[in-house]
Amino acid sequence: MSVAQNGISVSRLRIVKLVALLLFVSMFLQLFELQITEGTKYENMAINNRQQSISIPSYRGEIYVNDGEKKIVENIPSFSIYLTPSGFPPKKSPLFEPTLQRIERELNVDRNTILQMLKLKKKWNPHRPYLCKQNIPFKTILQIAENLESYPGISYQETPIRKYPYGSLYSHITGYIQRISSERLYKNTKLGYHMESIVGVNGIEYQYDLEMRGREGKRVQVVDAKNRVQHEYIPQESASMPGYDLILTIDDRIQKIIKNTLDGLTGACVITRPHTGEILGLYSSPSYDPNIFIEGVDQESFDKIKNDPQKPFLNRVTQAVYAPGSIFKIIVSAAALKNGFSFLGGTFFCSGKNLVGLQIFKCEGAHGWQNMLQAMANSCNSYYYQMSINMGAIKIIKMSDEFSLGKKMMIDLPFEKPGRVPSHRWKSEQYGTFWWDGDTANLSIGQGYLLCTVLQMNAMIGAIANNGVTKKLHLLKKMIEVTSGSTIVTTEETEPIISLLLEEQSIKNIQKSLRQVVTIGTARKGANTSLAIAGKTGSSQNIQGEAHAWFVCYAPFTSIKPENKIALSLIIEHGGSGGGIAAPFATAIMEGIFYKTNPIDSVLRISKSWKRRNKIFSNWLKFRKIDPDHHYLPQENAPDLNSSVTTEESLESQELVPFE
Amino acid sequence: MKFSEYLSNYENQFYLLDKPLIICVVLLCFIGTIFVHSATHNSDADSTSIFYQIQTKQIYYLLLGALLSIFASVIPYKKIAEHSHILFWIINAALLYTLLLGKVVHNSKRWIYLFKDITIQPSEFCKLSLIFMIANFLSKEASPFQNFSSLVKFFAKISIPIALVLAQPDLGTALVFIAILFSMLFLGGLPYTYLLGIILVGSTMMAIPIIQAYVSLEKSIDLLWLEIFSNRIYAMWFALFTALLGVLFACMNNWVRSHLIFLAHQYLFIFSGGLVVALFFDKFLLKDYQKKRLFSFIAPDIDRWDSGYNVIQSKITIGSGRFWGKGFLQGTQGQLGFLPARSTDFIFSVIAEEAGFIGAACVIGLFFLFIYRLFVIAARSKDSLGELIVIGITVMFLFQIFVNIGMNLGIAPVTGLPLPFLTYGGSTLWTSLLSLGLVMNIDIHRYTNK
Repeated sequence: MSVAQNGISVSRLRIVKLVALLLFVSMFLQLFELQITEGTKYENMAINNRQQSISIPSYRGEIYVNDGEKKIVENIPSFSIYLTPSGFPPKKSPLFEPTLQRIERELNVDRNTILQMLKLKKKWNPHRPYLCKQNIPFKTILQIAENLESYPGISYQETPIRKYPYGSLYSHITGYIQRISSERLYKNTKLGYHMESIVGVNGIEYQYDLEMRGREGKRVQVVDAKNRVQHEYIPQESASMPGYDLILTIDDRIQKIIKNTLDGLTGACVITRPHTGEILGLYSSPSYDPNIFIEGVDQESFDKIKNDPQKPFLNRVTQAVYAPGSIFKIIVSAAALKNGFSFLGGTFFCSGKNLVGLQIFKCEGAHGWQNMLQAMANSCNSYYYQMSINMGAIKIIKMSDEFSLGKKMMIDLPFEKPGRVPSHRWKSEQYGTFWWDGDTANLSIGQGYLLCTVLQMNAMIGAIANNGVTKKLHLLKKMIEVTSGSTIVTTEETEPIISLLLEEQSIKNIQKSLRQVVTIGTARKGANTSLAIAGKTGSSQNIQGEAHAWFVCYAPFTSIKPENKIALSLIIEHGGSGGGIAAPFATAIMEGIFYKTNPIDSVLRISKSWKRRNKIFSNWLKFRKIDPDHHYLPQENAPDLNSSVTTEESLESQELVPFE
Repeated sequence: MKFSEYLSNYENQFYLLDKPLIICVVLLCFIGTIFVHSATHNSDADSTSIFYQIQTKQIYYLLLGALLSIFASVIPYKKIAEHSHILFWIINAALLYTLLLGKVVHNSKRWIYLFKDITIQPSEFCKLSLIFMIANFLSKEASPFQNFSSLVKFFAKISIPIALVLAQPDLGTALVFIAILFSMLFLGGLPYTYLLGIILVGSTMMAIPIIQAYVSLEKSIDLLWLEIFSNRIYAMWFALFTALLGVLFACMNNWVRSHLIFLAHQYLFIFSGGLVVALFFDKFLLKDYQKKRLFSFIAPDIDRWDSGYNVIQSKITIGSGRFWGKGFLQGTQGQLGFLPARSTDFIFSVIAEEAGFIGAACVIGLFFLFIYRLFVIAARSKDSLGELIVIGITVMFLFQIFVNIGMNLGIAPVTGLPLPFLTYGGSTLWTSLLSLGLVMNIDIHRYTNK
């Protein structure tokens, strides 16, 4: 160590110089690293700092019923309040607690929501406003606007929200909207959704989401550190585009009639015009109010609806499958007629019991010798067991395929179930056993492995009504561009979904037999009306409980114009007998449509002779607070309904139309 | 020597001035002024006339600083060094006054009012006084490190301004004092054993607050061994255990004492002692925000919008400048206010953003040249007092440059140290220019003094 007299040690100075050099080298290297190596990353971070892209929400199309005037889904203005965490007084400040209390009391915002948002400040930019509460009443907004100073950090903005003015009436058709789920966001990355997107979750809102949502615009704001906007611009091709308005095929009056009739029951009904494929009414009971998703619902009441054993969220028309029961005999008959069985000639004997293999298959009664006309009217199982085993299951399966069972109907509602048509191959794959005659017998009366939706049965009866053709069933009538008012899409000309390869006479025969079901057959009491309807009852056995009550029908029976014929299919879950329970309600709906009578009166009239002790029926009365011993009194303006059976000739003279 | 003689010397020896040094400083002052303008020209308080604006004030400061620099280059520095303790006590009184009646800015008292709204920062001038004190001590004492009692007395004196500055609180300036002190002592021949002990204690004292800040910020961490740094009871048991171990070692024979295990134990002892002290005096040593700053230097993302904000924003500011920069007055981070304290602590980021890598590298290069010239001047000085003063000044500049630019670049903690010649502010500029004058003073007398 060489130390100059009390001066600096030279060797130690060298160390200090080396340290100095290292410090400068490290500064230089870090500068190089930040500006050259990682420059792009920091440049992007700087852009994120000063630019914020604000989405310009697009107009979401509204939905109308078929008259094009009545809105069933509309946008109404609404206000949301936002919280800017940096604007709120700090936690230590004496203003913190009073401000929090004032906001909690006067704006009715949950205290924990605010505290949570303030806590999240560490991860978020505290100078930006974050959504605090939606759907704020206008009065509250006025109050905020008048004295903004007393609500530090609070701001508000107008945002349209969705409104379903008819509540539960159209909920299974329209569906509802909600904030996008993360699963759906990641699945549809190319559709322009983002974290805050509001999308249709069910129904038409889901099906036509892309068409209705339009395109969101984008606005870029250049802000300073305190989030004050310096200037803003709209980038090229980022203007917002409005979505399309939709006009549906649904008829408001028919829909209301169905709802009036079905409320208080568990079931579903769909009414279509098979000639055009328009769905005129679609209702599943019980229903739910879609507005709860918009207004925000607490978890408890949501769970209450969700865990309801009657499943209000389930659309029983398309999303539930049932065994068709006796109404499947229409298809079996069609198969038989196609394969040369005689309509009036060939008879089978019904003794009430049939032995197939080693198993006894029962009939409802002992009908004696039956031809097809009688068997259909009486819903004689024995006839169909014997005839089907004679004919072979293959023919029935082929005919089912022709009626497009086991396939989706491609209706414009999401989550449709295809149902199931069993086949020899299907059974051996599923159960490892062979098809035997007992399976054929079960299939012939619509039981066993067969499953279908209410909509499929509607298309089936529609095909019979419309001489073998049902157009693809649809809800969308027109799509309207909002700005110009021009029609973008119409679905007036649709492809048939069922087109039967049957002789015209065979269809006429089936129609005749369906008319007899109503006039003298199983539905003669349940469908007691002067209206010329033709239909078929069904009671589908199931392991869950009592049989489901089915009724499919169409009216007017003898209409000259095919476009006037409407088809109806109705199911009442665990209703028991189709003729006893389902038919009166279906008839009441039909009378309501054609005679414009009150369907409740119709039901009361038809059930006059009825055992009102029936559980389904007494529930229905209780729901309407009607005394079970109420006697029907005919109204003055109601048409004369006392002539119990109207002849076909008299009907031809007066053409009934479902709606004007 | 009389003052007139000094003046004549100055005239005669004008050619002895170190031109590269002066060019460096002039360039740096010029860059500083224009970027202080860039950083402040659209600030919120921009309503007064141009004569009262910050950039204009900086020019006034600069002119006054130039005069001070010339003044410092002609004063009899040896005489001042001999009576450095007078200056020292005056400055200490000023520091005490600051602590009592200073102007409070951001929870710390660093400034005192001269007239109406003109403030000065005594701790800046204290650096120079400290350099004089230490240089005087090292050059005048016969053998400064042998006489233990005078060494202790010296340390006691030096620790007064450090404590006063820490109490302001101003960790950065206190660190500058410590850096000056130890580098001067080191170059003055402080034995390595002392040095080792100081480094050990120092690193322990630094580590504990950082760990504590980490524990307090990340409550969720599940590391048992970190408990010992935040729980006093554990720390006391730990210290007791090491003390007992020490007693055990002391009872053993010389073999143990002469081996590495003894050294390790010594460190353990110091460490545990430091731990206990740090835990008990935790509140007095470092404020919460200082701990957070120290910690956010290590992991800025944990507290992004609070204590980590400065670190992240300065890195973004520098990085987004890229190679050519965004252009003068065109920077987004600085002009839109994302960068805090841009005319003072983060002026380097403003330069790096607007002048890019080219400009920032030039600034670092100028500083490098400046420090290099100071080392050259120190080496060619024949006079041990002058040599020590120049080295003290060099270390002061080096430390400030590194800590400031380093904190801009994210490689040093945020301590609020000014960047010499560039940062806006009178006191720091005058201290820097006074130091420069002193260096020139010593340099031009390199042939006359022995």
